Amino acid sequence: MGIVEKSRLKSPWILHYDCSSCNGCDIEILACLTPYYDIERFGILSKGNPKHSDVLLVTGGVNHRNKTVLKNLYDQMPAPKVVIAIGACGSTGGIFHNCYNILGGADKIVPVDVYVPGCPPRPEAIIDGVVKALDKLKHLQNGTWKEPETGPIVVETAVGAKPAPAAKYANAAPAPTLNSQPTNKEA
Amino acid sequence: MNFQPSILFSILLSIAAPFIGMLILGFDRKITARMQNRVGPPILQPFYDVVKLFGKSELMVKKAQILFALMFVGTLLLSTVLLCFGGDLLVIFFLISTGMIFYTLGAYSVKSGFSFIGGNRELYQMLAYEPIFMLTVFSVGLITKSFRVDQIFGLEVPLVAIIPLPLVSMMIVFLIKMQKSPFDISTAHTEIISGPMIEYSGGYLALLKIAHWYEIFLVIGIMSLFFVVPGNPVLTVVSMAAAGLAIYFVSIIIDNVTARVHWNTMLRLSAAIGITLIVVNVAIVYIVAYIAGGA
Repeated sequence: MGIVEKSRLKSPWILHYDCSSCNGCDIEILACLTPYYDIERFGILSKGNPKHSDVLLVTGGVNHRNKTVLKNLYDQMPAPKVVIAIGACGSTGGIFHNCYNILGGADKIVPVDVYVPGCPPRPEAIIDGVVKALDKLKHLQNGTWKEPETGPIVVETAVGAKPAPAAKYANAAPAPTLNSQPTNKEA
Repeated sequence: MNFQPSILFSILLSIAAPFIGMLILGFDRKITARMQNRVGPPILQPFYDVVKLFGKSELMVKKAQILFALMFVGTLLLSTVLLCFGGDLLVIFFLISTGMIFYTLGAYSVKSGFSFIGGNRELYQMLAYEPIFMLTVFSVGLITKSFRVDQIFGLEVPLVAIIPLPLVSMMIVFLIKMQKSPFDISTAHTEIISGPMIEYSGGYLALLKIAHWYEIFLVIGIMSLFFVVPGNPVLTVVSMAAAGLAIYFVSIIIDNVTARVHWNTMLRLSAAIGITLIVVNVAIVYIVAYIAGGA
C-alpha cells in the first residue's frame, strides 16, 4: 500500500447532508464528534464543504425538492469518494417510503456504498459504517477510479435485524413499490 | 561582531521549515484534543491530510486559482529561505504581505459568497495585524540599527530584555496568522466553512495547507528572534526553540478558552493594545538612553 493510499484511509473528511431527516440521525452523527466517541482520533473531520470531503453521509429520505441538491453535492466531491446512507430513511425511505413526496433512500439518486440501518443508528454503528466505507475505498483505488466490484455493504446492527412479518398481514395486498409514480408531478 | 550561521545549516533549516510547521500543527491538534478530554489524531495527521489531498482528482472552479495558490506558497517559501539565511526582516515582512494578497486574490477570483466574505475578512485581519507586525520590525530595526536578521545575533543582550512589549503585541499577530480563536475570523469553520479556501480542492487545497506550515515556521521564527542569546550558539538554539514552543502553547490555551470576536473588536483590540504597547516600549528605551547619556 502506497503512502497516498495509506493517507486516504487515515484522513477521511466527512460531508453530512440532511435530506429530509427528523434530525434523530443527525444528532447521532454529531454525537460521534463529542469527546465520548471522538472520531477525530481516526483523522475524521466534519468539513461541511463537498469540495474538501471524501465521505458523504446522507440522512433522511430523498424528496423531489432536495434530490437535485444531493446530486449536486455528490458531483462536487472530487474522486475517490464514498457515500454512506444513515438510518432507515436514508437507506430505504423508512416509514415515509410510500409517501407521495418521497422518492426513497439516497440510493435512488447517488450510488450508495454502505447502508447503516437503524432508527436512529447508534454512533457506534455510524463509526462502523465509516470504517467499512474506508475498506471499500481501499478496493476502489488501483490507479483508476473504476466502479466497485463489490456491492453495497450493510452494517449489521441489532435494530437492523430482519423482523418476521406478523401473521395477520400475511395475506394483505403487496405495498406499492418505491418506483410507483408520485401523485403530484414535479414542476 | 557578526554571527555567521553556516550555509549548510541555513539550507537544512529552509528545507526542514515546512516539516517543522507540520509537526507543530500535529502537536497542536493533539494537545487541543487532550485539553478537551479527547484522544486526538496522530501527530502526523496534517501530513496524511496533505498527501491524501494530492491524491484526489482535479476539480477546479477557475484556472486563476492555481496561479494564486502557487504564488502564495512561492512567496512564503522565499521569505522562509530569507529568514533562514539571515536576510532582511523588512523584506521578509513585505513578502509575507504579498503572499497574503495572493491568497485574498485567490478568494476573490471565484464567484462564491463564502469565498468573498472570507477574502474580505482576510483583508480586515491584515488591517489589524500588519501595523503591529511592521512596528515590531521597525522597533527591532531601531535597536539593532539594521533590519538584517543576522545583526540580531551581534547584539550584547537578547532583544527580549530591551523590547519585551512588542513581543506581547506580536501575540495578536500570532493568533491571527495561526487562524486561532478569538481571531479565526477569515476561516471561521462553523460560520463560513474555511472562507477563502472554500473553492479550492485536491492538490491546490494541499498547497494552501503547506503554505500554512510555512506561515507557522515564519511567525514562530520571527518571534523567537527575540530570544537569541548573543555569543552562545547552543544556548541560542535551545532558547529560541523553547520560546517558540512556549508561545505556541500559550496560543493553544487562548484558542481553547475564547470564542470568535467580530472583526470590529479585533481591529479595536489590535490598535488599542498592540500599537500602544510597542510605542510605549520604544519611548521607554529612548528615555532610558537619554537619561543614561545625560548622566
